[in-house]
Amino acid sequence: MVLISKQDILNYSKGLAVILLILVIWEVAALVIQNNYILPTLGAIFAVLLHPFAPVLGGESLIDNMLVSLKEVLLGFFCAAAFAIPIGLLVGWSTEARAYFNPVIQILRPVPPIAWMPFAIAWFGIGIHSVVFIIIMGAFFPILINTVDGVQGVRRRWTEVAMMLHATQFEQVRTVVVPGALPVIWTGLRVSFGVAWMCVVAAEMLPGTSAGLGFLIMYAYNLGQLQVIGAGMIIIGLIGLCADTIFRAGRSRFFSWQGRE
Amino acid sequence: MKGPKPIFWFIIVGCVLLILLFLLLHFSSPFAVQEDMKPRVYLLYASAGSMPQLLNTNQIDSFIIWEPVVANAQLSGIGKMIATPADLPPPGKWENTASCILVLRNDVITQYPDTSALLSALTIAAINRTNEEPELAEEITADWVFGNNSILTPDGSLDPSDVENLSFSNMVFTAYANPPESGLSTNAQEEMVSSGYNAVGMINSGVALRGEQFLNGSAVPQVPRDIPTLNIGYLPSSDNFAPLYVMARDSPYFCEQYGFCLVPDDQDATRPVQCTLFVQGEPAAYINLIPAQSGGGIMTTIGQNALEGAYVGSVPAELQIVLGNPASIIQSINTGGSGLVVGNSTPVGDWKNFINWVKLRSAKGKPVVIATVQSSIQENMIRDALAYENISVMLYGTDFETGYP
Amino acid sequence: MEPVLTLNTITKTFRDSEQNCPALAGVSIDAYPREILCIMGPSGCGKSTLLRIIDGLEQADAGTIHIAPGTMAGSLSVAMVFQDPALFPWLSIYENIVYGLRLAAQKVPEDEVNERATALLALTHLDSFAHSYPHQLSGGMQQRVAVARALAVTPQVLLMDEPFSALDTFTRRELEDEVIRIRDGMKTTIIMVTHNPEEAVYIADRIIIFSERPAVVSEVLPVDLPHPRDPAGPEFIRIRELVTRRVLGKPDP
Repeated sequence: MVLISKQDILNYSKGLAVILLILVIWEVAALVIQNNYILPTLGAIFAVLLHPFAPVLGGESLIDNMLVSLKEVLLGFFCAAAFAIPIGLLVGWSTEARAYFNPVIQILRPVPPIAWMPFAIAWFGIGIHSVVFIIIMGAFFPILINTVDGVQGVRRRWTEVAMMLHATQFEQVRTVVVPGALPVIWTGLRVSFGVAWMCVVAAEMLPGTSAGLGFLIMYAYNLGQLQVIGAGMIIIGLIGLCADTIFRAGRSRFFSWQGRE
Repeated sequence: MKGPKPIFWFIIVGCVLLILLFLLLHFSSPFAVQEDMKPRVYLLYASAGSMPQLLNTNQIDSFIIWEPVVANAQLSGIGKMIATPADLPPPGKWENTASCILVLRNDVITQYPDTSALLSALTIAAINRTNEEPELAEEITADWVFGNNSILTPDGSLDPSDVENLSFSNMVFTAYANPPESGLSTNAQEEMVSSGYNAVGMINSGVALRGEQFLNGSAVPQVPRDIPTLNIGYLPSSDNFAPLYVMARDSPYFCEQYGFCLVPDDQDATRPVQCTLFVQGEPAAYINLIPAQSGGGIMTTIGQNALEGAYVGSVPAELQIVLGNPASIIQSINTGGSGLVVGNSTPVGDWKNFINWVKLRSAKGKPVVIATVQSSIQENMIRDALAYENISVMLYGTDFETGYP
Repeated sequence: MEPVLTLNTITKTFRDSEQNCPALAGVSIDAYPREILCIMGPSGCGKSTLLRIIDGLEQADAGTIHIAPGTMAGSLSVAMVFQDPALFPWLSIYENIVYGLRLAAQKVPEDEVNERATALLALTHLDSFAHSYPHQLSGGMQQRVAVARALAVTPQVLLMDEPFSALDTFTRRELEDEVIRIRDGMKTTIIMVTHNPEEAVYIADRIIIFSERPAVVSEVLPVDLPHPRDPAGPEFIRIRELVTRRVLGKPDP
């Protein structure tokens, strides 16, 4: 388990100090500029943050919007993983599969998720499905690429040991390739979650969305209430931080052997 | 290592199952069974361009939007207009209220009073010109909004001038309409600001008055020593700004008639951006016409000092001014110019039918879905009207009921 | 006595896109039960390749392999220990050792798995490390685990490809003693490739010397010294020098 030591507290304080410095600079700048449309004051932003259950701009609360976005991201993320990990295992393991799939993967990979937005509406209609589709398009490739890399990075010797002990192809994949590739796959999941979370803001600009942090940001922009946008951004950042912490904890719990084999 | 057959099939089957699951969720109904007695509709925010397509694919039941989207949808066979703003309750509220207006930021008015007045003068003149020469105005607007090409529809194509013809019949251009008492603004104001709300109080009438003086020759505009560059925003998808298009594209008329005019730097552009405001042949200001996507966005950009003013919907402007945006309403541009559209096969012919239909659908557990642009005058109109008819408005895809004064 | 493993004119050529690289040009070896064979020869002459062919990791181009029947249920004929331990880092030592027993090819019931594991842990002196992880063990201990893992499937023939070359002299000596102990205790036949003449003379019953590539068996030297062998003894040294000369292709003085 992850224990918090004195060293950890010291490290966290260093990070906290930088954040506080940025907040001070922000507040000074906001007071100088005196224009809520350009730089809202921290006071205004915290006024929104400190009442997370109150309706925002006549709509749902900050927490409600956050939960909607979180639901969309989790759905998209897990769907992407469910597709990307098996395909990645196949493409990483088999040179045949690689020959077939690699070109199309390399072509689709650089396409930004936002570019899929017109198709999202056309294929999935308005509503949560099109949003989740965009998120899947963003989350899919980091997981896929990392799974392929993870499989290819599995030491040849390990699979030889398994072969030597007469493991079937399936057993080799199940008992050697998957556990061996798992640390790299985990990194892929971690990166992918970050991308998915970034995508949700863009995805919620699709027609038919009436809730979520991305929607709230657009809504606030149309009303010139930038302090709500600031609050939304902070929430987005904090959730990203939480998710990353979970991933890192998972790494040290399950993959402490990585890099020491 | 060669491809393992069983794993290959395992993955294929797994993916197929997942796709099926995804599609299954797609087709399940998003609406819960209603327990309330009060009838309800779902309100959906979408962009103007997406609404006809959404109606055509039956993802929404109706939309309320500005011209020429309404005319386009009708002529394309996608839907029929069943109500204009004048038809919407509260009775008579929208008949003579300003749909679109000219706003300028307060510090611009203070710093460049005559330039502001010139802009107003040209707008008034352009409104008059539009009313006097509707065919010219329609031609210019068709070119500006749709470009030189015919409009593609699901079944074929349309001539833009036909669309503009229909669209213009739904608009009245006038500089003298008052901005509406906006329910959305009252809503927002109650939430956030405690000072009083007064739409007419947002007008800075001095600017238009001075503009009138320039027009009738009783005053001569002073060209400022430092020639300002003003960024003026507008929505290029809307016919409501026809006078602006006329102002820019018919500049020789205004130069000759009044001695001041707005001349695009590039005469051949269908949507000029950089223009010069000439007074007696001398540049008095550089005006950039900046296309934008939403009225709310335009107002925010004004607050950020990146736009000096805009031709924009009355409601988005009021919403922000009541929340503290340092801008003022100069004058109106038009009234009307919007329409409520339903699908062709919908058994509805007017507003009364529409409400009956809404109640029927709500009782059946499948409320009507209406699309509109967020924070627009159209949103304000429909929500005012639905509140008047005692119908609750839910945000599409949520179980959140919007409050309304 | 019947050999437990017979190799007959094993030939192997590696085909590259441009050239052919003949590694083995007809190697024939008989291995007898409970024998320790050491294979030596100039570097890169296919010794590892031969072991991999016996183990099934490579295919010979020509020649036959015959392994005598009579293995017990749930065991393999041949198992191999590589130069690097290649333990699975995500499994504990115990889990690593019993890995082979849990595969479908072995089908060993769980209580027997535990029995074998306990015995092997005792044999290789790793009892207290059963629940440690590979990255917590030294190189020598990891190699012991690798040996235990190979032995868990009770092979008739244990192949070892330079298993101790990466270890220090003291650990080597310990592990060489362990090899002898394993052969005595489990009655396995052991074929080891090594580059160390002292190691070969210390443990082997016979030393097989390969020629330069393409390799054939150039000589088979029996080592008739009784165990425990003294590396400082005159006969030991004589045989060791003989082996060294033969491998290098130098003439006798």
